[in-house]
Amino acid sequence: MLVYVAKRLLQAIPVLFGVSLLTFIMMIMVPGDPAQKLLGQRASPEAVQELRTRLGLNDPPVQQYVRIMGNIVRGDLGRSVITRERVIDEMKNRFPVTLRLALLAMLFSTVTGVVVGIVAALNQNRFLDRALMFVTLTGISVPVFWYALIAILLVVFQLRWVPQTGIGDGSLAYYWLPAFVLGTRASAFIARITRSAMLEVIRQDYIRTAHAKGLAKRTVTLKHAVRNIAIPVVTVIGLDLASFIDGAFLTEYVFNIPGLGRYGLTALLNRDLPVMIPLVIYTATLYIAANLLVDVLYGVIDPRIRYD
Amino acid sequence: MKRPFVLLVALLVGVLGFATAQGTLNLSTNEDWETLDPAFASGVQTGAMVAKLYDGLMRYDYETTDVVPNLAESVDANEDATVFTFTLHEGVKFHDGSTLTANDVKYSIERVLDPATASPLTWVFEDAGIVGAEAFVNGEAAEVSGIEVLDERTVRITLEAPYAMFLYHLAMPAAHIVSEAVTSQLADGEDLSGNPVGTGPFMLADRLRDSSLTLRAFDDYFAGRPKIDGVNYRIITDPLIAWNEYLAGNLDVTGIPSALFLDVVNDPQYADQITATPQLAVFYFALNQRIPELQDVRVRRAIAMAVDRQAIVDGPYNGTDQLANAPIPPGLAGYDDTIEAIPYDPEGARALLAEAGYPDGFTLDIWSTRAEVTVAVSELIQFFLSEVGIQANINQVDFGTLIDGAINGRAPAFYLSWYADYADAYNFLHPLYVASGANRYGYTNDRVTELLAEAATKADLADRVPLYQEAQRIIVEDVPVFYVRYPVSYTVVRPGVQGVLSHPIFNADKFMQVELP
Repeated sequence: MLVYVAKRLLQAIPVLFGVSLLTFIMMIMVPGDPAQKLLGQRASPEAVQELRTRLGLNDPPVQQYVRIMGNIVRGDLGRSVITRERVIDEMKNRFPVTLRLALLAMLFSTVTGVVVGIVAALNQNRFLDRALMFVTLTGISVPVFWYALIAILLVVFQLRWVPQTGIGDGSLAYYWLPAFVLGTRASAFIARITRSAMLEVIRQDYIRTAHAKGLAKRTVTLKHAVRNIAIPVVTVIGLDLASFIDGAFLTEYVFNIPGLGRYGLTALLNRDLPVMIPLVIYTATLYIAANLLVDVLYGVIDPRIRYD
Repeated sequence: MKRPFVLLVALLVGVLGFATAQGTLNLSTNEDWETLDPAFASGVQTGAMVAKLYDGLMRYDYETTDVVPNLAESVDANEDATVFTFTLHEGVKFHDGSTLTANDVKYSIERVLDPATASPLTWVFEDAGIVGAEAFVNGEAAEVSGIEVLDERTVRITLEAPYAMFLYHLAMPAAHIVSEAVTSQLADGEDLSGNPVGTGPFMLADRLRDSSLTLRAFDDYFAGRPKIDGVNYRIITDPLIAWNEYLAGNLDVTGIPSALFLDVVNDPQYADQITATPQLAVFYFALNQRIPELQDVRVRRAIAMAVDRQAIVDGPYNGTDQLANAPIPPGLAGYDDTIEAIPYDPEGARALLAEAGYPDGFTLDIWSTRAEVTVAVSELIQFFLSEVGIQANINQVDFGTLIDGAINGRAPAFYLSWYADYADAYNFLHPLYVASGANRYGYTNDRVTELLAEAATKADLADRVPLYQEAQRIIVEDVPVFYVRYPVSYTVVRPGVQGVLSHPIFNADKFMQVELP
């Protein structure tokens, strides 16, 4: 197992370089750069050129890339071109905010998703099943931006269940609504996966056997069936968690939450490469880690799976 | 036993009364400040914040657009306005308790000019023509010889030639004074955002990026402590949410979201809460003379004639703004309402195009930023041009790309705006029609250049105005751009909140006048 994990981690290194290089190439191919943004409307073309030179934006792309990656490898993420703040400080400040939101969203989506999925499967083709599947389909289809805005207008301003938007004093009172909005889509997805996995499992012979030997329906469901739907469900949850910790930029944007997603979005709009590249590497790392974690969990969930 | 209870109540009432009489002003902004450092404050929003944290030698009068001495107790100029002597107020304190000296003034200006700072705002001092500034910028001198510290409280600045706008420049964000002791300790690449020590009426109390920023009144402010205890800004990205925060009582001042604009403006319950401030600004549609078709003034005039500008003001802008006729907006000396704007005349436009050799029109690319209103305006113009046979395509790009495209001659036509850096018509003529900075449509006219060069040397506004007006008439005739609107900014202020300035200059309000109910 350890050998397997080590191998996977080694494989991650070229992937991370590849991702950073791809991002870099895409960013420099798109026209426009931060110099004009920094100088504002007043700048003469000469001033823009001068600032580009000072910021190193006129250097050959290879040199720029090597400089940024060199900094990262040395553990110094450098400073934002736009705000001149240290990227590592900003990431440290924002990580806890995003993590809290992610864990809450995860908790909500997993619990509701799995429960809804099982209930729907056990009531297959009855009204309850159809109603739940309709709700989950809506949950997957609705645009997050619109949904978040409606949720805010209703819950914050009509019902007054949340004092205001943003993270206020950082307490749970401010986090539960964005976590709910963020988790909705994942929850709907998990519910649908759980349902189909469950439907497959409850048709298996060993379930029929369990019923036949007179076990209570609850025992059959919770002990025999649920255990066997874990693999597809854990896969979905793992990837969702990665996407949440990566920072849900739309949710963070609409709810005014100062997390990593907001940071990345602003950096992208500003063409702030020294911020973009570390964030992209961070994101890629999360996905690689989540995938690895899920694969390792397979072995725990199903001891027949071995990686040696 | 009763007495202490009464006392306690009295004390509580006193405390509560005190709290409501002073208190904190609650505001919002839709994006975080990119910097809190004067040397980098190139935007309107950062400039407005710099005015709270720092002071310049000069500032805007709170009621008019005149500049008045601020950190300077007195300003003496020689007869031809090339040598200015500033005497600082005595005992002005920085937020860290240290005392402002003339050295800080010299240091602050040199810091902006120093290539090592990489400030985008060097033009604020370069354009003023301070003696020795160029040599300093080019690394040929260790200091700017034209800035002399005469004693602790006196600094003398010498210009190469008279420059009428000099004192305006000193009221701009880049000319706000920083502490040499604090600033010289910054790490390489760091700016003052983390520790914005100025002399301003407010000091930074707390900041969480992309979330909130809190200012606290500076007790030792040289012009007296502000009446409010502090300001709490929240970053609220969506204007609709900000509006609802205002309705919920969480904000004291807000803008009106465009989706609700007419409903709110026409609703009597908000009538006494709305402040309309005409801006010193102009929105214009530029015709790039680097494009062969647009080098002919007849073609540019025909394009202007083809567009019903009133329809643009009435449509995307809700009909609340003034239709623009010329470069200088109302509110500035030099504004001229006798100039007749080019009339809407599609027939005439077609005839003029035929005369210029384009009877069947031609194809024109309009470059537009992605801002919703800008796209809407570009689309309207596209429609009007199609009516006279010009096939216009809209190319949506971001601002930097648009500017690059304009300078390289790839962006033929585009819709932009210009907001005043300072309150003189020179700022609406020189950068846009003479210098290379904002004049992105390749316009030159020797007479205009001459008139503005002359105006710059006239210390007296009354002497400048006729020159501005003559230049303005020439520019309107040349049609390098056509003008669409002079904008009016609408804010809503909670009843009882007083003294939030309705000032057309972005960095005029230091919140010294604000009182809460």
